[in-house]
Amino acid sequence: MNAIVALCHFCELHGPRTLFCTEVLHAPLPQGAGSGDSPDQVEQAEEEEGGIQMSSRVRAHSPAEGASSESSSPGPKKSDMCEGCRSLAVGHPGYISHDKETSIKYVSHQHPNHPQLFSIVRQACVRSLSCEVCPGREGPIFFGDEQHGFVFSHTFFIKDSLARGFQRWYSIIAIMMDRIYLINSWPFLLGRIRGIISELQAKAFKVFEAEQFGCPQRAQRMNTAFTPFLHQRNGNAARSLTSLTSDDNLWACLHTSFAWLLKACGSRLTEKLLEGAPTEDTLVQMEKLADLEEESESWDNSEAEEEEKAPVTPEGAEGRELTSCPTESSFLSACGSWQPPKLTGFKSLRHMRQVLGAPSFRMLAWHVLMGNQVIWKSRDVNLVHSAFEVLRTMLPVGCVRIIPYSSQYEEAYRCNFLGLSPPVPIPAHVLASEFVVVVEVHTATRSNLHPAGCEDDQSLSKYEFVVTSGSPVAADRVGPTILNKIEAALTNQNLSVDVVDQCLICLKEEWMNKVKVLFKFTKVDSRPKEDTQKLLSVLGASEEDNVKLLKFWMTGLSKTYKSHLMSTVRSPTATESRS
Amino acid sequence: MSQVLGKPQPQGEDGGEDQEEDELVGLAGYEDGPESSDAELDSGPEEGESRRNSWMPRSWCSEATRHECWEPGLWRSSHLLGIGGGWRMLRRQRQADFFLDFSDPFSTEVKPRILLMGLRRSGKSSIQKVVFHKMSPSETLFLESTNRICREDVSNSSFVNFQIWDFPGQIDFFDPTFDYEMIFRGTGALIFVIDSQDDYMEALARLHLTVTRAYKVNTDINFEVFIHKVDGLSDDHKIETQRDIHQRANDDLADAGLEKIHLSFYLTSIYDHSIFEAFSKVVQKLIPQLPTLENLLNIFISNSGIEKAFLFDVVSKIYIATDSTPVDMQTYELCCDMIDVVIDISCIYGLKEDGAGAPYDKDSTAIIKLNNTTVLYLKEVTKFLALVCFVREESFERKGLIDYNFHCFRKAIHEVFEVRMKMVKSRKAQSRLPKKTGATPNGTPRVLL
Repeated sequence: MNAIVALCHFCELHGPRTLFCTEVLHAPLPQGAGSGDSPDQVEQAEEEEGGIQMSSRVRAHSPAEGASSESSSPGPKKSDMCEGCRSLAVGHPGYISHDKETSIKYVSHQHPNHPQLFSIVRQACVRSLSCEVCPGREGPIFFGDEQHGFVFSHTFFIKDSLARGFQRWYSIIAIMMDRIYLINSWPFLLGRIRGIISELQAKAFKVFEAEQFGCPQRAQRMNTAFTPFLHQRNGNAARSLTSLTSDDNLWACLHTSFAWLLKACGSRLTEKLLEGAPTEDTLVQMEKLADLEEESESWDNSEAEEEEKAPVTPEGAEGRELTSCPTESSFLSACGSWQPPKLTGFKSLRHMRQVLGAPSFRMLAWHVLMGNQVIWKSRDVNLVHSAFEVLRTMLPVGCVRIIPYSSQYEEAYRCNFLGLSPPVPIPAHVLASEFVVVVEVHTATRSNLHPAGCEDDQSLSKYEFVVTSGSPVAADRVGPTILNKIEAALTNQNLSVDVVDQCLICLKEEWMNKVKVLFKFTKVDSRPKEDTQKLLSVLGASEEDNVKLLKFWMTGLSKTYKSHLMSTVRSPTATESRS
Repeated sequence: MSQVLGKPQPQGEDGGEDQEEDELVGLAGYEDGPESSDAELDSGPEEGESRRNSWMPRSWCSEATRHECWEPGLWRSSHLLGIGGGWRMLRRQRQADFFLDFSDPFSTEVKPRILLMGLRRSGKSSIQKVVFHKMSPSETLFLESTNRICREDVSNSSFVNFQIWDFPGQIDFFDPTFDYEMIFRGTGALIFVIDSQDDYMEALARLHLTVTRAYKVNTDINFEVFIHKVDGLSDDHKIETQRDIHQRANDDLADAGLEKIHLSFYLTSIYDHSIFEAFSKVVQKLIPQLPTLENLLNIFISNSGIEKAFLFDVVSKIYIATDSTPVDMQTYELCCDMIDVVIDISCIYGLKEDGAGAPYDKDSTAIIKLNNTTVLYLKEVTKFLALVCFVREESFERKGLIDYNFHCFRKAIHEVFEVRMKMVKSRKAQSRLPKKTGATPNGTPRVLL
């Protein structure tokens, strides 16, 4: 990250002053003469082997090895510099650390070299020490603007027995142009900078205690207060931070701390580029995952119930293993992966269409799209699973409710895909209903029923599929638009299976968008019926089957989308454009 | 009439008898009571004078009659106050109750600002702590360096109502980084503190720079220079330092063609009362009601035989008004000490058993008799204001008269307060109250003029 960390001091003579400043230099930036870079790099390489390992997250305290030669920093005016205002001696080249992994250099000086950076740091220093007020005086604060950068500042006192008030005023500031990044780094910066400050204060306090024991300043000042000849005109000479903390390697330590801070703060957050807004299916899946955490107890109950039903299954072994899985649809993919590869089933919609035959497949697909219950009766549990996995791709995620294999009939409101074992009875009124389709899998009596066919067909050739429904006139309907398009795609042999899958995804997105518009129009805005009819005409979904499909798919909208629309009440004249 | 209203002159015993004879003659003229007094005033002074002269026997004198004798003087004072109305209106005013809310009306008022500027270590923060925080002067040795502008509201009483801004001396607030126009636009007074024990050349250069730039922003600022830390100088050295600083500062302004900028100079130290005296002068210049208060005090002391009277803010011991006679430092110090004694004794004996209440309230009063035949007399005026008087012992024998006149004085103060409330309400939109330009408060020592 591009940031600057600096230590600032309020001098009793000169006011706010920048003491020590660490900035980041990236490799592409040119540094002076090109011919000069080569020997510097050699020196840095040598330094790296025995010097600081910047890749480590632990703070390093090897100041002797940390320092190395670099171009000398420009010296400010000597008249403005006193012991308290200066950090590095005149002619001291500063400190540099080289991060081999990223080719980034961390450079510490009294002041930044660049004039604009100098001005920014100076401005932040004055504001930190003399303008911004933190409740409690010591502590963190955030300020700044677009022009001069944004600043995280932490002010603190350092004990000094010779200072007025026996302490001096300092601050550590971090300057960044990215406001959001800086605020997001607040907890990290606060914790680390506070650690640095505590260490400095502890060292200074030790020195302060020793000095007070040797020569109590309070009594001394009281004694000399009324002696005009001893009046010190410019006050006591300011003392450097190395003197206050009795640490000759203070600046080298600060360099390592600040450099580490810059690197660690830069690497703790990463950005990930999102491609487009999340789809409705993504939102629904996220909501289901959230619901799963809340329903952890009900899983156990559901599993217990499933285990109780297991003995009824004729194929006991396979049935017990499968029924132990949760009934939540989001876990079906795990069941799918668990399935042994040698077992066969339906592979795709096109495959299913070939096996069932076009008329039976159309009837089945029609019921799927309309939201009617699809009941599949078979002894082969894997076959039922594969059928459901294939059929669910025709619907949005939020519209799918599967009970893969049950020992009793389940009502339509509980699931629209139900797997049953053959002995399970289905109520008569369900069989007669036009909103239910039943697929019965029987073992074929003769193999010559399918004399010709691909190898895939032969794997299912032992079965005979009977598709029945209580609606005798279903086949005569025109059917929803999406069904016709799906059939066209499946019929077109020039399209590969992958292309058909993508076509399905696009069709679902298209019609889900129509659902959103209709939901907004009817549920949120509460428009009259005539306007709704006009909207349906515009959407190209005015036929009866399309309307039914839209209503069914409306139940698959995510809670996020619905609550968002409900909360934002818009004016009746606003038109909702399709996203 | 002039004999009766005139200030009593100290005379010998025979002179005293003559004076008493004159007063008795005047008092005898009103034996008929209030109604007769009204009739006399309505008919005119000459007739009243003749009637008083014709009445001779002393036996008709009484205390009540003596009280009524002074009403004509107050009647005149009401005209001088410009309050309006006549004798009858003033009498009716006495019936009114003054239960005023001291806090709410002024919370929305824009307070004038007093800036404390100067070089580092010149004593700015020490002044602020000693005057407004009762810090012991010796404790100021341990104040830390001021690193930012410290702002404080001082709103102790109805007349002492301003902000104090203490500036760090190391920072140049005329740097473009700071909005110095905002700082000086609302400023009423700029106090520049110079350390007299230091080499003050740098301070004078800074003073010149500060004054010229502040004057560009706001030409209404009062510029006050505190020649501070004079406790360590001899009297000759004080005078020499003040003369030198005064000469150099005004020469700098003349060289820059800014003769119209007026600087006031004060010798101050936190170790005596000079800092309070100087601050009193600064604050008085910011009080728009000052001429009215001073007139009230002049009338009061001339009719009561009082030598010197101060209107004090008891919290800060700044006197916001005094009469026309010059202020003597010893007199001022005695008044400050009296306030301290009153507050301290009230803290011990004056509070309720559970510690509730304030050490200074409307019942607060004190009489201290000194061994040099002088009497100090303290009376409460408002919640934060006190009247402190210097009275000759012989004049104090007429305490009843003084109390009655004080009663009238107190009511007049409340009327001024009431007028001010009306002004405040009608001028909320204005940025600052009008200030009388060039007004020199009473009590200014001659040598400083």
